[in-house]
Amino acid sequence: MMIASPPPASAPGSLPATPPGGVEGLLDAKILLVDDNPVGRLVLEASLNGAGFTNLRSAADGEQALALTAQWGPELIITDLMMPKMDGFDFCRRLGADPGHREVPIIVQTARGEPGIRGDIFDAGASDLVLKPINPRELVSRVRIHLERRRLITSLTDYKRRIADELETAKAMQLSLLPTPAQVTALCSQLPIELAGHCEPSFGLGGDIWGLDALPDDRLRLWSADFAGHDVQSAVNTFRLHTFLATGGAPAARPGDWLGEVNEFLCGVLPVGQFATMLCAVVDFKRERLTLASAAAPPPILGDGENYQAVSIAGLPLGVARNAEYETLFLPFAPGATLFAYSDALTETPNPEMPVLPLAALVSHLQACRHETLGEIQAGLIARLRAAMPDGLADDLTLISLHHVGGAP
Amino acid sequence: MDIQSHMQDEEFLARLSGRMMFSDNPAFRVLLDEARSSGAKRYVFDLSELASVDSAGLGMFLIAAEQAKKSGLPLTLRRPSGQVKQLLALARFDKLVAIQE
Repeated sequence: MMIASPPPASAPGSLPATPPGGVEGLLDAKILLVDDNPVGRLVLEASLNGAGFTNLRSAADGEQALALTAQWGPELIITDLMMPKMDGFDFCRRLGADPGHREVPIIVQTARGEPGIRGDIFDAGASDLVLKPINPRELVSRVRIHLERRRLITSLTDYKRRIADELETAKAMQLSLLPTPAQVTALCSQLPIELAGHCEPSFGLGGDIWGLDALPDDRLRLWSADFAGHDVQSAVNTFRLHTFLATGGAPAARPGDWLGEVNEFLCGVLPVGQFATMLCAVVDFKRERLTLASAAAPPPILGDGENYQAVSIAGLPLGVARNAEYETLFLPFAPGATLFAYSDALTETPNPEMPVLPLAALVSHLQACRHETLGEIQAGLIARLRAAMPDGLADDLTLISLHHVGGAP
Repeated sequence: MDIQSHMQDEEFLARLSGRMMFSDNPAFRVLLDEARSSGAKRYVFDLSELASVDSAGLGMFLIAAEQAKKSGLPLTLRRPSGQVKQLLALARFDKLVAIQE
């Protein structure tokens, strides 16, 4: 489900005001000076020393500069153009082709101010140029600007990488809440079922979760929930729900009563405006019966092997009102029957007004594809959504198919 | 989403039109503040021109319902249609606020 509450005043992902090692600490920056003329190098050194830069090294041509760059890792390079062995143009090009150092800013010093040459210098990959004779204050200003920019980019890149790593860890934890393929296979060997589940966050972490519980007397509970809220917020709520359910928080057998128990729990933890929609289905294989309850979940679709239809069942979202009551619906579920549950992304992509798969089209599609495997049917649905939103879905997507294959449990 | 609101005979009437989604959250909060400070005795949201609501919009209606309940004033959702009507029915909003056809 999409997001409901307003962004917090201070976004949790906001950057520190001053990045670590930021503009304050520029004077220790490693700067490489490249010039075949010793006098030229001295002029550069004197200008930079005068401004307080002390971490300087020199090279006499492009080849030496490349070797020193690889070995020392300068943060900024100032180079002359005309040098023996390898000139400044080639040096810029070679460095630009080196993935390890292509981001190092290069300031080219040149005595030639013609527009054509200046263009060539930038084309070769230089970040900036200064004209000879060197104006020390201008040189130092340009050095500062490029160092600041470089350090800012580095700190942003590091920050982004750290967040991405943490997100990956959280994502793996969230994935571990869902039934594993081994658990599904084990259930399919105990009960006369085929089952396929797909759960995909639209970005980073998601607010969807589903689960299976083997119940006594050859019964199976299947549930699917969708939390409204921001990515992380709704994801944290999936953990809360999982813990509540995994520790026996909702003992009721009948789906409507069970949703009532989940609702009481969520009313206690969710603030106003946050809620979950949820479907609970219990299949009784001995009685060939399906019991269903819904808390504003998208209408599940039931097929008897030939005909498919949406089950009309409604209910208050969870976490909104205490003591809410949820109706339990009783339906036949004989061998050959299929239950299909899904999150609203399926019928609201690319938008709720003009979806590619409105409910009626979804029902027809399932009916038309009823002889395909559950996995093939889900893959077909996902492909249709992706075609409608090639840049990625706007909402978390969950699809669960349960098929009664027949035979004694 | 576009919002137009005015007071008439102690009724705070807001007409919502277009698509209601997450990005409308700030504007909707402002609307709720206006409603609260209007001194009205009842709130009416006219949804006849509202084309769609996503779950974020549903969350906003829940906040509106809670605010009305706290202030002890009735909130009516008037003339929802199409997808909006279906979603309100699916979520049994009639249990929370008055829905007027």
